[in-house]
Amino acid sequence: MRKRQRRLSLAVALVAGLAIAATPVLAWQAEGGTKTCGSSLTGKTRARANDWASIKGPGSGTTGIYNWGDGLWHTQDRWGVDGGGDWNAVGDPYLDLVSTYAFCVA
Amino acid sequence: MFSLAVFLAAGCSGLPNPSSGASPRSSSEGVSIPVSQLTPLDRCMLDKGFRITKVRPAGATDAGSLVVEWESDLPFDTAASAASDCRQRFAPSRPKTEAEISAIYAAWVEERKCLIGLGYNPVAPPSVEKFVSDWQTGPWMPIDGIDTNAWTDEQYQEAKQRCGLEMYDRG
Repeated sequence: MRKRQRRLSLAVALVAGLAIAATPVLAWQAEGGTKTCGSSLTGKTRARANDWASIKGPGSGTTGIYNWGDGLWHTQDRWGVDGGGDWNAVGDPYLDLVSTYAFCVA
Repeated sequence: MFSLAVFLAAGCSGLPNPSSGASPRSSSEGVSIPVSQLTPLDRCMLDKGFRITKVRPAGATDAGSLVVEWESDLPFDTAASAASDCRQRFAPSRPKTEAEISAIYAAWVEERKCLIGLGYNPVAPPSVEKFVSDWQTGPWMPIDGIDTNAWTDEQYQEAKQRCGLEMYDRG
């Protein structure tokens, strides 16, 4: 390989390595979707997360941040709005994807 | 020493009564916390525009400290990222040891027995080995198999008061 090509390959490798090193490591898991409820029903998000969670109820405009700070798993419900809508949940570091969902309440 | 209590105004969405832990749909109420008890994490969250919605004691293992819950009107992704930034800087998670996880299992088995005593029929617990191996994806809980969505407020309060269930909060 010519010197110029070798230097170029090394430069590319260096830049790629720096880019990877600078990329923040995601320390959480996420779930979300849309839950539509009848007009007389209210949406609710249930998240099962470890240590720290961000949760948005279906259709709600606010996000709740839950810092249990004990390294334990918690099941946390959060109200949405009548009729439901989009919901989200993040668990940091872990989220039980099977046990995290949205539902409708009378 | 004089401690100035910080009164944090309620948002339009309404704030829960800090002693009841009611849903955000309750009437607006401020939550006050002495400035001297604000941790660096709290200050980071406040600086990013979060408001405090609930303050409660940390529990027997960390007596005297407070656990704070916050709320934000930012888009979810923005709020979650901002909160995660504060957490990574001031309250990174500490993995549990296998011994600690086994102790949690033992405590939750007792809480399940308590729920049975109240007339519920939760699923049987797995082996402690399974519980430990499931720790990073979502382990068994004492409330599993119970339709807690159908609980009245009275049933929920009774279960919490009689059996602990610190791992469950219906908001």
